[in-house]
Amino acid sequence: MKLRIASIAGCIVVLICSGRIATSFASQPRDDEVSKEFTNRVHAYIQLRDAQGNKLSKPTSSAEQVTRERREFADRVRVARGNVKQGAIFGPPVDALFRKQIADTFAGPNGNKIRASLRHAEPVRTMNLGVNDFYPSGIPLQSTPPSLLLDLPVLPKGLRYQIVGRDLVLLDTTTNLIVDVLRDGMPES
Amino acid sequence: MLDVSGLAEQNQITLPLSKDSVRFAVIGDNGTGEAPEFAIGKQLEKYRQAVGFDFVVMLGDNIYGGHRPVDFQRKFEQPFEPLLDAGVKFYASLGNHDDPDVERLYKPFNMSGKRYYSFNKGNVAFFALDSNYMDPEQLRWLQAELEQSAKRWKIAFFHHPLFNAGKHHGPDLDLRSQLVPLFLKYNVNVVLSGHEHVYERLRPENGIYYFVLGNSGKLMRNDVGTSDQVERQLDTERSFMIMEVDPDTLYFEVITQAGRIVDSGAIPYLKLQSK
Repeated sequence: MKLRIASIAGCIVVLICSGRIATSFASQPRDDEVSKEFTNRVHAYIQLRDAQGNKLSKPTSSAEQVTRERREFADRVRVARGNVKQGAIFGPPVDALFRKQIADTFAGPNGNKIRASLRHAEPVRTMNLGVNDFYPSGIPLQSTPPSLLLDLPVLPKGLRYQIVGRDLVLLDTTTNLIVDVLRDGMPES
Repeated sequence: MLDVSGLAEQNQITLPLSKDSVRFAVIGDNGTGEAPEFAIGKQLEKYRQAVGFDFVVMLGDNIYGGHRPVDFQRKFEQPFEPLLDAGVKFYASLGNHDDPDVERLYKPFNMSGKRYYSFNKGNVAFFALDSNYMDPEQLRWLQAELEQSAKRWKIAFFHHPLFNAGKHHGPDLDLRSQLVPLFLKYNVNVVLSGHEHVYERLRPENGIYYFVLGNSGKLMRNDVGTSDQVERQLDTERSFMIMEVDPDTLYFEVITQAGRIVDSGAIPYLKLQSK
């Protein structure tokens, strides 16, 4: 009798464990699924942005016109994204994929060159950039190492990965707006 | 062999000033709006009148600080007003202090609305790159452009130097690893960069000549360390460069804001290898 109870209990434990393990396998998205999720989020942003109407597409001799029309476009985009919070693009499960990819790149054959380039390129100090804020005027852009760009998902025109301190910022240069921030996305040097 | 004939205190122009050559000026990190930039603009106009050139290549950091309309006036339009009035075209590349989406749409920078672009003048193909953001798409574009260019001379210009003995920034090693193979494969002859606020003429690397000219507005004094990479350098004054390209030789002169020629030479055309 005791042996039977123990056997049944053992089976139950095995079943519970199996259920939990099966559940955890089912809840872990694959990298390609996460990449697709990232792409979908980025495209949703692009659609929202383009729906606000960017009037400026051709060069003009008037610096006043360029700056005014970009600011007006950016203001419309900011309003349209009024409720956006950090993580709209880089939130789970995307953040884990990016952290892993960045760590792998830095650990790879180009890692030392990337570190050296970041040190030499006029590093930008850490700033607490907020999503939907403007990139601060007069602050230079840290160059983004090409070897890192080879390993990150391709972005549509106008968006770029911008390194600010240890943060990876998704910057829209057409509006100069911060689209999202991956805090401490870059490894400690 | 490189013929270096210009040294300090020499004020005589050494360019051949041939009838059909391509002649242009080079400035880098100019966009301060301060007195030295205006002095460079004045010298540049004197040279334009003396030797004749109708375009200027800009190596980035074209506008420092804000990018309001008044910044464009103070930091570009006013210092170079006589040249602009004379119809001289400025071809800009983007530096880390430049706002890419404002400057590429600013017509006087002749970027055709693009972060990176190419143009031809006579027998010279110019490739203006965005070294702040050398993404795979730009690399593919550059390879395609280099492959299909039939011009004898190829000059690439962009902000971050691949070889650089300056102490403040140094070379961009990661960018170097991506660009040098393309430059070698497709016979780029000369590479011009800014970013380090000095002038350097570097020892040729595998037949390619590298110049750093980041002192047309900014200046970092005593920045260039001792290096066997550097054949000539200037880190005590601002400067600009005049280049003249004929079929077989590229001539250059580097002139300070006071009008002194501090470097000059002749680079023979060299075919590196087949595509």
